[in-house]
Amino acid sequence: MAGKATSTPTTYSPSPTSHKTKVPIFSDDRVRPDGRGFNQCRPAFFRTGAVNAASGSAYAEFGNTKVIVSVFGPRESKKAMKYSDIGRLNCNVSFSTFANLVHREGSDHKEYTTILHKALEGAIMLETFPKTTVDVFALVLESGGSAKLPIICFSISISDNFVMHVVGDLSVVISCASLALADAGIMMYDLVASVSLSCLNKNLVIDPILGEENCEDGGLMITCLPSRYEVTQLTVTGEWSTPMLNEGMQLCLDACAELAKIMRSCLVDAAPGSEE
Amino acid sequence: MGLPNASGDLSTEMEVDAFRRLFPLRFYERHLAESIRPDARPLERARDTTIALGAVASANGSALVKIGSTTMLAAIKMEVMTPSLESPDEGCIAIDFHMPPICSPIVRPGRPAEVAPVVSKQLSDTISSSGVVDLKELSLVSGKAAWMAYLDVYCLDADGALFDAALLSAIAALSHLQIPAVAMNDDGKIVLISEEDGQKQETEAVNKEKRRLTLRSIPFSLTCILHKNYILADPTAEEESIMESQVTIVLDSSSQLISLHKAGGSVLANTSAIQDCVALTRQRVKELQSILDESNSAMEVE
Amino acid sequence: MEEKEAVVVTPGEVLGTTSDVKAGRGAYEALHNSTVYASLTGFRRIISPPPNSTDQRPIVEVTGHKAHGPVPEPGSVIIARVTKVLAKTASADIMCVGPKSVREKFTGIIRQQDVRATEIDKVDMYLSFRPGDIVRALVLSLGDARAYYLSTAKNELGVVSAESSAGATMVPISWTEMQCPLTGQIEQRKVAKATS
Repeated sequence: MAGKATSTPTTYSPSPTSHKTKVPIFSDDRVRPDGRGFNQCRPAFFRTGAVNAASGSAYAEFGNTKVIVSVFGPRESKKAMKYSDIGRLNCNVSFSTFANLVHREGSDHKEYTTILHKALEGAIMLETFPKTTVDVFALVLESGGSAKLPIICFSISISDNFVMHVVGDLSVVISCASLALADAGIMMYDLVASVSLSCLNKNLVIDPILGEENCEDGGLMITCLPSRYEVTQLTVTGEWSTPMLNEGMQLCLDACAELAKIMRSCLVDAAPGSEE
Repeated sequence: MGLPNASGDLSTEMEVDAFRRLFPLRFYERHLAESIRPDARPLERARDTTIALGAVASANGSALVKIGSTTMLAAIKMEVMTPSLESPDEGCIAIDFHMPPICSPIVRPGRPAEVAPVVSKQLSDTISSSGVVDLKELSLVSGKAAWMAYLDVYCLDADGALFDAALLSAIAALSHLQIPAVAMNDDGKIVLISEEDGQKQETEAVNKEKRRLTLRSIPFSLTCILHKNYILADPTAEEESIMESQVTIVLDSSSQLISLHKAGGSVLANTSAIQDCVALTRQRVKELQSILDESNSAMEVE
Repeated sequence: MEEKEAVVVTPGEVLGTTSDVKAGRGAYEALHNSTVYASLTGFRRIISPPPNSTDQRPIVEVTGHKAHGPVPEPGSVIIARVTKVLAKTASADIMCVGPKSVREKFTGIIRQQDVRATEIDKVDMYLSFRPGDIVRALVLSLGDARAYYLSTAKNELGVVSAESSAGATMVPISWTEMQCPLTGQIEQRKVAKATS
């Protein structure tokens, strides 16, 4: 037997030899470890219709973060559910075993599942599919935290089996899920765009990756209906001054508007007959 | 349809996809009688197949395989373990097959697909019994350290022939695998050697350069459906759900039989049907081998 | 005033103000800012209002994109496969809504009082349906948590296709009987009148 699954020995991921001392997060030229400016999001790529077996689906790639979302339904609600005049939204977010730098059991992420549900619920016209359920399932294939370079230069010890899911992954999951819903033909008030931001040493850094998020003083994630300019989800963590927070929220909302343009063009490109 | 009967009337009144949904077997048998499948394939033809190597940036080896709509993503992460006492000079491959809820309407969170553990077992059995990887190549320091290769295959879109696609993606990921350059430090731990500080290396390298595995007798497979006198190669999910008898044959690149698997079903497989399936598999192995070679040489050019 | 050029819009895109246009399919009106938005991806179409309508605003709708799969609604005619027959009810899996097949299935239930229009208290469920029968039925209501309530209480509703115990597709010979072409055996059903 090649894989003795029953008696898998303990393993570790070999760490780099060079033990660099903690390097400053940014040099003075306001450039981030992956070369971005502070106000620059990672390049975003979306494609709908990734999974044929689903009613609708989308794939999103933001730098190293790679996500697939499938939508099933509207379909019969599970037997145990009570009768409901309006439709139900059911969500699930899970990570692949290779999503992070260190091999891990693939797992459901309960907290992200709840946040995804909250972020999408307000955008969907639930009354258009009474009694039935729309399932939104997300798989994070690769986490933004899995990039090798920033981890090494931020001297986070990976030999401690350090695993952390970045909030940046969640933003991508949410935006991708709204595209999958649109692809499935589920009626929505608006698309849903989500962007996160870190406050580091009094600098606001948009769309942070793992190394950055780990050093942040404060974190912020905004999910909004970009065309209606309404916020469906707002998470603030850590230490913030009011003016900083205001500035941060504005930056996120602006970034959401930009993101929505990319999402809309993806849908338009995929629409039948738009090639002509 | 000759005689006027209730379902005959029904088939004229309904859209084709409704008839297909209500009377799937009759729908298929009408097609099979004309030697063509609803997706316009001849009975014995497999769907278009593609391999993209290196799809997972953070893995040591990875491949994205598509057979028709069926999509598999395989990734290998290399970690270090202490080898067992029985085989101090061998590493290990731990293979797992996953069907996340995104891949099919039949999988729900917390309610995994029944076939997933079956495919998982078939995969590990096939990889180990084919001897495609010499586990000695995964040894680092005898008795002290060896590679554990975690090979995870994710089904991203399930449309039939799951084992065939999973095996192809696993093999492709193994062919893409780069074993990292490592050394053993003073604490007896295996550490990565980064390329730039290779010279001022005080510790002894146990694997000086990134290297690839030597793959021997690569296994490839083809699943066929047996239905009445028909043999359908590379079935879709719909075909698998309607016609139950399936045969999966695994051959290596030199056409040696590695395994033959018939998972129940009402049709008894007779010798000639099995021989036909083997012949189809032999053809398919040639196709798959050349697709794999092409994707590997494309990687080298880059 | 049909537009020449097809414009693709996406959910949330502004289609106009409620003073100028009325929301049709795939569009909605937001009351708080009097704006009409798209709710689906598809082509924007502007339709003139019916000439006799009091509301003379043109209707803007979004069409042409794949809508989600069909879902049973009260009033829809469905085709279902009977799964279980009990003394007072028959359960069935809804496979088609109108002419469209559903991707998975929805559960429906035919209660004794909804099998036929007359003598409803004398209905014998076992002489009306058998498991495996294909029935055409009307969705009465969303029903309960388990099932949609279905009715076959019309001439054109009821069993449209059934297999005899010998395994052959039976031929309807009356409102209440079908016959096996192989054995000549007659079985009882609530037979649907063929629509032609």
